[in-house]
Amino acid sequence: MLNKTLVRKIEQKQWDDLAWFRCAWIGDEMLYPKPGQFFQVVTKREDVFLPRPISVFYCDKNGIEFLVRIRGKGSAAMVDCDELFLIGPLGNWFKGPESGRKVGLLAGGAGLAPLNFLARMCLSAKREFVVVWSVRVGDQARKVVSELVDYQIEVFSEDGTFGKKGNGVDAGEYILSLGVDRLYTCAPLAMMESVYSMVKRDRVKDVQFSLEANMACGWGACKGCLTEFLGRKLYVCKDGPIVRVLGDDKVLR
Amino acid sequence: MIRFLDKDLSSPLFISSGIVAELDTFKDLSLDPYGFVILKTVTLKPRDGNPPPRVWDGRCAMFNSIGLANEGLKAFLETTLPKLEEFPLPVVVSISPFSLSEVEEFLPLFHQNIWAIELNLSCPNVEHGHNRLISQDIEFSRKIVSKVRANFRGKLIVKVSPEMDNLPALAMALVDEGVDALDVANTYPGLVLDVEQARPIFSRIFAGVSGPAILPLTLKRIWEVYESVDVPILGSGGVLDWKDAISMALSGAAVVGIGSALYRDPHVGNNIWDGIKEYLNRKSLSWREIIGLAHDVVSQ
Repeated sequence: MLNKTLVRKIEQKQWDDLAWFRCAWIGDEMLYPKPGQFFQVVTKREDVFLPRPISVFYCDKNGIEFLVRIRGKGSAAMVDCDELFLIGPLGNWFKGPESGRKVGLLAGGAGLAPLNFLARMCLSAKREFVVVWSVRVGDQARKVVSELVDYQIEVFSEDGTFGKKGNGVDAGEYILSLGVDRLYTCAPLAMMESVYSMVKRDRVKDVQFSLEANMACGWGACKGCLTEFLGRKLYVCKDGPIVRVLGDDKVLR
Repeated sequence: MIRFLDKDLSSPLFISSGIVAELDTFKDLSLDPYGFVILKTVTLKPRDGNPPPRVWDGRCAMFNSIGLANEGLKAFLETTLPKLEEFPLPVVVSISPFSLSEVEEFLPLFHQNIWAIELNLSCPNVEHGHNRLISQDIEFSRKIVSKVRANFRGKLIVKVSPEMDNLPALAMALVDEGVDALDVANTYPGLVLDVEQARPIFSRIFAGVSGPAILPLTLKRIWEVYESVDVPILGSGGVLDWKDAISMALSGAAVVGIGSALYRDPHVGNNIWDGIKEYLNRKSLSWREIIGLAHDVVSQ
C-alpha cells in the first residue's frame, strides 16, 4: 500500500536556483527511504496538479532533507509551501557499497542529492569513498558545500569560481583516474552517457546510474516515465530510478 | 449498496481506464472506496506507446500522451484474464479495436465470462485514419458497436470523446445499437508548448487533458447525455473531491470515475467516498436518488 505522509518544513536555504530544506515528521509517522529512492512531493496548491519526483538528500529519525533545482512551478511551489505531502518512498535504491571497494560518487548539479544520502551512509558504515561534484556555477556550489557537506568533496565548476575548472566530462575523467572500481552517479542524462563511455573504456565493473524523468504517478501505474537510457527503454519509477550496469555490460534494474 | 449493470456494488466510485496500467499495481491502492475498476485499454497488437515525454503538468490539470501502451490481446488473455477471478472487485475490461476486421479478432475475449466490456472509441493519443477519434465518426462507431454487441453477451459500455459536434446524437445512435451504458467522457485533446524552444511539448503535438480543470466541461456533457438517453452514465473526467463526485451524480452520472486525482493522492478515493456518505446522510438521500436530481430542479 502506498504511503502518503505530511511533513512540515523546519529549515530552508536557497542559493539562487538551488534550494535545500529539512522537514520534520508530524506525529509518529517516520519513513525510512534508502539512498537513491525518491518521493512524489505534492503541495496544497491545486494549480500545481501533479506531484514531483524528488530524491532524498538525507533522512533520519529527526526529519528528511531535499535539495531541489528550482526549474518550474512545481519546484517553486515546493520552496514556497511550509507543508508537503510525500508519497513513497518509491523506486529501487543504490546497492552496496560492500567493504573493500574503491568507491566513487559522481554528481552533476542537483544530482548531488541521492549521492549525499549515500555518502552519509558510507560515513556511518565507515566505508571509504570519494565524491566529485560537477556544477556550472562554482560560487553556488561553495555555499552548498560549506553549509551542507560534512565529508571530503572535489568540485569541478564550469565557470572556475570554486574548485577545479571543468565540466562533467572532466569530473568523470578525474574520478576514474583515482582508480574507482565502483561508481555511483546522478547527473544530467548527457553527462551520464559520457560517463558510461568512460567506464566502458576503463572497464569499471559496477556502475549505478540514478535517472530522472517526468512522472505522473511514480509507482508504476501511468506508464508516463518511459525513458531511453543506453539504448534501452525503461520506466524510471519501476525499473529505476537506479540502473546498474555490470562489467559484462549486463544491465540490472 | 449500489445496483449498476445488474451488479451490486459497494460504492458508486470506480477507477477509470488507463489510470493503473497493470492489474498487479492495483495492490498499491486501498480498493475499499471503489465499487469496481476499469482496466487499461487492450488493443489487438501490443503497443509500446508514444515516445517521451508522455506526461506533463498543467494548471489544475495534467496532459498525457501515453498512446495506449499495452501488452496486446494475446498476452492479456494468457496472463491478465486468468487473474481477474481473484481480483477483489468487479472488473471492466477496456478494449479498442481499430477496425471492423479487428473486432472479429477480439472474439476469444467476447466468449469469456466477463461482466462488462468498455469499448474505448475515444483515445486522443492514437491515429484513426482521417478521423482522429473513432467516436467522432458516428456511423463508424455504430458499426463497431453493432459488431461487438452481436458477439458479446455481457454488459457493453462505450467510452465516448468529449470533443464531439453532437454528443447527444452519438449517444442515441449507440443506444440504438444496444449499448448498456455510456462512459462520458475521455480526456480532452489539448496543447502545451515549451515557449523557450517555441515548440509543442509532445511529439504528437496534442495530448489528452485531464484533472480538475476539465470537470465543468465533463459535467456539461454528462448533463446533455442524461437528457438524451436512458442508459446509465459513467462520469469520467476531473473529479478531485466529494463535491465533484456529487456534482457528477446530480448531473446524471450513475457511477463516478476517479482518474488522475489518484496520481496526486493515492488515497483520494477514501476521502471522496467518506464525503459522499456524509452528504447523503446529511440530506437523507440515497445515491440512487441524487442521480440526475439537478435536472428535476431545473425542469420544475
